[in-house]
Amino acid sequence: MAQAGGPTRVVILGGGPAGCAAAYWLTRPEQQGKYQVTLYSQGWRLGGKCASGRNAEYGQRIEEHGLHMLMGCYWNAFATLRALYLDWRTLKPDPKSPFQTWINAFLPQRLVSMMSQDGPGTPPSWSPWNFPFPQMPGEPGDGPLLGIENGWEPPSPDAMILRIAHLMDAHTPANAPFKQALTQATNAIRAVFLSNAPNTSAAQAAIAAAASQVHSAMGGGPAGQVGGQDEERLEILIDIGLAVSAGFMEDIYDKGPNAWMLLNQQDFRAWLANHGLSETAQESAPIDAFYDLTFAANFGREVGRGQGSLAAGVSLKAQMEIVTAYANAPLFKMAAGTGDTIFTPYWDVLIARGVNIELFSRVASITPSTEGTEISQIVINTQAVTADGSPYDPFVPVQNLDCWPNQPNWSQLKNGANLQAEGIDFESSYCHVTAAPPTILVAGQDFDIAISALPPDALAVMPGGVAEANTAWATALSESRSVGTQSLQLWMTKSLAGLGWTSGPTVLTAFEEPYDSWGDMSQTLSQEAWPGPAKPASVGYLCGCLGEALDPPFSPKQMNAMAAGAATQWMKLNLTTLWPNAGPDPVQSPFSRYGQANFDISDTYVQTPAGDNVGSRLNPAAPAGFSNLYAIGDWTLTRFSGGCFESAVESAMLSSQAISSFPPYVKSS
Amino acid sequence: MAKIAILGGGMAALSAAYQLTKTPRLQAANQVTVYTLGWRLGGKAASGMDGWGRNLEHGLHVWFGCYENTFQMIQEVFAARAAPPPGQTWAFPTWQDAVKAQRFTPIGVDTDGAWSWFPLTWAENDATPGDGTFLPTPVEMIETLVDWILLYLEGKEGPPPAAALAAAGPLPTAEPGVIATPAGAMAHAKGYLSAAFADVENDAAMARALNLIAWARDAHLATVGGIGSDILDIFLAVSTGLWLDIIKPDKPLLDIDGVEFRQWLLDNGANAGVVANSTIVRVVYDTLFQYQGGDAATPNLAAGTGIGVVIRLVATFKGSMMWEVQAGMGEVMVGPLYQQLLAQGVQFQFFSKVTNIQPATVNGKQVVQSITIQPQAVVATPPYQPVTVSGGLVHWPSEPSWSQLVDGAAMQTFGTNFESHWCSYPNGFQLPPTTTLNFGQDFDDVVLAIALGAFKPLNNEDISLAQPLIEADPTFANWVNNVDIVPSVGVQLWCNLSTLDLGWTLDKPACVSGPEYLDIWADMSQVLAFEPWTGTKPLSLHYLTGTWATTLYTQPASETDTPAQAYDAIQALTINWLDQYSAINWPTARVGADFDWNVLVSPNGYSGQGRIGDQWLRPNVDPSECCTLSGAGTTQYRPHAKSNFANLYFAGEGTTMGFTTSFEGSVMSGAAASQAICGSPATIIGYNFLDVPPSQWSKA
Repeated sequence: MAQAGGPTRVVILGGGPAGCAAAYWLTRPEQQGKYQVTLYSQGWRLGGKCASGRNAEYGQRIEEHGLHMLMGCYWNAFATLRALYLDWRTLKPDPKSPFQTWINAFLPQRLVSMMSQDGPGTPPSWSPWNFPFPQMPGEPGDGPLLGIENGWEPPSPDAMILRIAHLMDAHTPANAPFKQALTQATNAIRAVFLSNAPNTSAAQAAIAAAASQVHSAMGGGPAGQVGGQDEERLEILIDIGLAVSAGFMEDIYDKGPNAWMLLNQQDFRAWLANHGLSETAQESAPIDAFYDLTFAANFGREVGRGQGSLAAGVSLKAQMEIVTAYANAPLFKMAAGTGDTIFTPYWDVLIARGVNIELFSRVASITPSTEGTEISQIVINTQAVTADGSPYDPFVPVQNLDCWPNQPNWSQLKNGANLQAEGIDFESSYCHVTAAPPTILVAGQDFDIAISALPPDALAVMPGGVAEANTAWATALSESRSVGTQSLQLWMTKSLAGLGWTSGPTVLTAFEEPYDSWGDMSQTLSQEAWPGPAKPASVGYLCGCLGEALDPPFSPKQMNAMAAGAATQWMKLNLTTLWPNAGPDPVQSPFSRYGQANFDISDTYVQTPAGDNVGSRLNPAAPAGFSNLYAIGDWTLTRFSGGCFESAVESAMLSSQAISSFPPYVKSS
Repeated sequence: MAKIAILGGGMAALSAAYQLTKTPRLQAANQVTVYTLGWRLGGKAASGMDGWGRNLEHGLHVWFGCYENTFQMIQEVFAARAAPPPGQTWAFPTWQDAVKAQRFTPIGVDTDGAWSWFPLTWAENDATPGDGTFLPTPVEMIETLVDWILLYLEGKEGPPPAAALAAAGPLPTAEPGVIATPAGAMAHAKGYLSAAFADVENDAAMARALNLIAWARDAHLATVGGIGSDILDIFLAVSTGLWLDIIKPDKPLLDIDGVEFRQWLLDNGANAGVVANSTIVRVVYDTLFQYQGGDAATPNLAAGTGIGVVIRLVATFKGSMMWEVQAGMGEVMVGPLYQQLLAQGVQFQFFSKVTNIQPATVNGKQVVQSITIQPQAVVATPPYQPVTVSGGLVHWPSEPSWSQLVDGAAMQTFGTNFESHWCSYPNGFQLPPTTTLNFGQDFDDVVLAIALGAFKPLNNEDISLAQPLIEADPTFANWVNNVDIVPSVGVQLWCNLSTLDLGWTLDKPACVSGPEYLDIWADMSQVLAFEPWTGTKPLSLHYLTGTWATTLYTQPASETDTPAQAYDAIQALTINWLDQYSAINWPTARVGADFDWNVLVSPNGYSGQGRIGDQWLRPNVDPSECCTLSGAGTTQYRPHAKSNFANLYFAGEGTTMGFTTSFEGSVMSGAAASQAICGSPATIIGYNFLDVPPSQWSKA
């Protein structure tokens, strides 16, 4: 495949989480230089949907696509990031950097909150519902890839169901009316998983009996009554736990490996309802939260499809891992911008390993051969070149850390001042500026393997005819759904407590649309560079589904203006619900704000709706339809098959493993 | 070049060796040899991996965030580490991977025999332990103590002002702006405490502070009660005592070491019931193992040392109050340190039991003239290789590498334990001849870093290895005769259910002051990731520890069945404790009223109670593995590093170094021995904390 004696030439299309991870694993020292990698990315920075930028006008503040968190069950992502940090600090020691190890950059977040409409009043008011998740042993990613031979194996699905049963029992007080039935159900579940002769029908009967008692208790008190709220919330959680247990026993346990995939035809909420979840619990904050978390409230590029859609199989698996299979903390927050904590190390390490990273390089077309068996040609548009032909330095230093700016370092670019004056946005699909003739990559001549790490909305409009030439591609793209999102960052003069939020730093979801999620990100303030008196006391990131239809989108300017308007309106109506002391008129109060509408083809969020979506996904662990093409990204088939950092990294590792048998270990289904 | 013999292989010895050879200049000046008994280093902190891949410890070793010198050392060692062997990655690439913050330290509360855990979570601060900054000032320390109390009070539902005023009467002083609640009074008292601690002539401020604290206690006791009232009561006594005995007269803490800590609290007005029964007092003794003879009925802790340690633990930590090692102490600390010492040119003589230290008068000065060493075994092909590197870790085996020893197989079969005071050999086995190290020839200076228990006379039969020193020097005799040692136990349980599934749904804990005799419990499941189990891997791992009331540690060496007696005794105690008390930790692991033995893993396939046989129970009754007691009136007998012998230096937990009763103290004492010999290191943070008046604490 490669030139005689030479390395295999790999081109990676796209510089987001998947593309960078693939480049990372293909160029590890263990690969002994077998792969010569070139990575093409549009614009001035790496990161894709996780790219962030520093705004020099406002204290080098961090501007993100949204609120990014890494979960404590992201085994592949953490294995990769921790290995990356080791390499980074070995290849580029920097005693002054705030990030000497991964531990400095990814901070455990154990408090998770939801907003629930079960407070006093008619109709019931919003009321916070806090979940202080316990610290669990170990660290995410502990395992052979980090030299930890016996590292943590995430628990099996059976073990996770057992944990859920134990959690339910432990959190139910002895005087609860359904305590006895619940303990019996717990013991029956325990008997199934810990005995040699499991009696599933006894367990199913015990679960059903407990659920029926919970349902009768649920009618107990008038909603919103003080004193009843804790009981109602407990009943909802137990109801969910029992429905999950019942469904698992019925549909998954002992049903073979294909059982999960079969479930994906059903919507998660509907599946739970089929297994006895009460209507109250179906509409409760914990269920809403999971839909919010995955931006599943809307449906693809349409708007307002009610309760949304989530494939039950992967959702169940993800939900169970998120709650019961994390190491250390359920969530980890970045200590600075997502770009600064993740993609700065990638850049440094990949460059040091000789990876050719071509920024300002947008893939214009991917063309199959006439036989349709391989990719024969890839065309790359060059958006910009440096003025003097020297390599582009993408960084701006802030607080001893190399950070990505929120726009190109114009002074390095040829014609930079003019491009800046014109307001050119190289990441926008509306921008067609080029600075040089396109690069034409020919199979066998310029590359041996191509890895597409491009997002599905971009691939869907990509010229070249990949979908026409291959039905797997056609199906995967037509079944793929992505949704627009909008983000809002608020830098505030009041501390979190001063705003009236007294439970401590949290990550919250299930609140009023469109900004249903909020994370306190005040830990990033020390990495920004606000002039003394202007230094904010706290910063919050909010996000949710975009409230505008994407078909067809308006101009970028209009989309952002609409999102900004929505933000203003939302803040007026809802902010004091979240933060009682935010001020009488939050819009006039001392906020510095940044918002963004993620509507463009490379910014939309990949969903996992029920139906054929998961089953139609391309498999990153094998060539995708063409002998020399792999497809990776969070839209491909992984254990969560979900729009998340973990799926992107997992797909990249699987592709690297398929190409090179390395890494030897990937946590996958 | 000075030849320095370090006797002992524990943390004090290794710390001394480290400091004596830290730089190329020091390496050129000092030629260091460490003589240790047995097959490994670390002393009480030694750990070993057994045939199943389990890590076996003496007990639970947590690191407190004020262990400045320990953290400094591990940071330097990790920073200087060489590359791992080809094909391996260090499992702990940085020190932050090896030692992690543990903020959750529940404390046990005994309510008329019903046990519960009071959940205590510590806030972290931005400092890094080992960053080299000095101790805070007395003002900063007292403010930190009040801040912790305020954090506690403000986190709880307190009485409204009307209720507090009705219960405790009007506020003692008509201060504007005081909120009449316990928290409000304490917040105000803080200002007066600061003023008084900053200006010792300001008796008026102190009086106001004490009146406010007393009012807060009374109001709390009458309305809420419980642990919060105990905290306020003890804090009132501590503030009173510190002011009268230490701050106002500017006297060192050492000055009150003649008094027992509880007595000192009573002398300063603490409630007798609180002092006798409250967890708030008990937790100090439990954490530091300060029970005479290991008996929980006889707590004994010198007041100055006690309050000093409390202040250091609570008011001077950096980062997190507590830190946990992620694997065995041998793998995290001792192994990397050993490799660093080899790189610094230190030599090691394993299987070297010191049997006599002989002084003489040379040129009118008393010196150590010779040292007798009994080799415990013959290494077939010297030097002995004590560690293996696999899985990115430096492993010490839990038993010697028998194949490297002449007659190793026979000794292994017989069960020879070179670390044991009661070590015995197969019939007919001939010990190798002793060797003698001579002053001026084999050594110039000697560091006695063997644990105090190993040379303290404990019975009429054994002859102390330091008998000639005891006879020659009354100061030395006073030390060994007056400082006592404390036996303890360490238990490790491997379970086939996760901690969550055992019924513990809070944060991963490190608990103290639970039900005796295993009053300390930490979930150490993180260590499992570094235990190369061959069979089915356990899902959680629990370390339990506590002192143990026994006199077995005084048995003469001829009573060779002592270890077996000790094991049988703690096995029975452990079984009883698990049946009777362990529901507080693992409520799900019950069968009726008893412990569910099936949650314990058993590679041997034992059933029921028999599964205890596949756990690790360690009686720490060997005199050299007992802790030392900082009893009332005994600090005066503890020596600093310098001895009355011109070429002899002391190091170890039994010396005085500003922070007795701790792992950190051993590290500090080793550094002090090095400092006394060669002037390096220039400073040992906290070393003089007990010895200097409060006006100098921040430079101690």
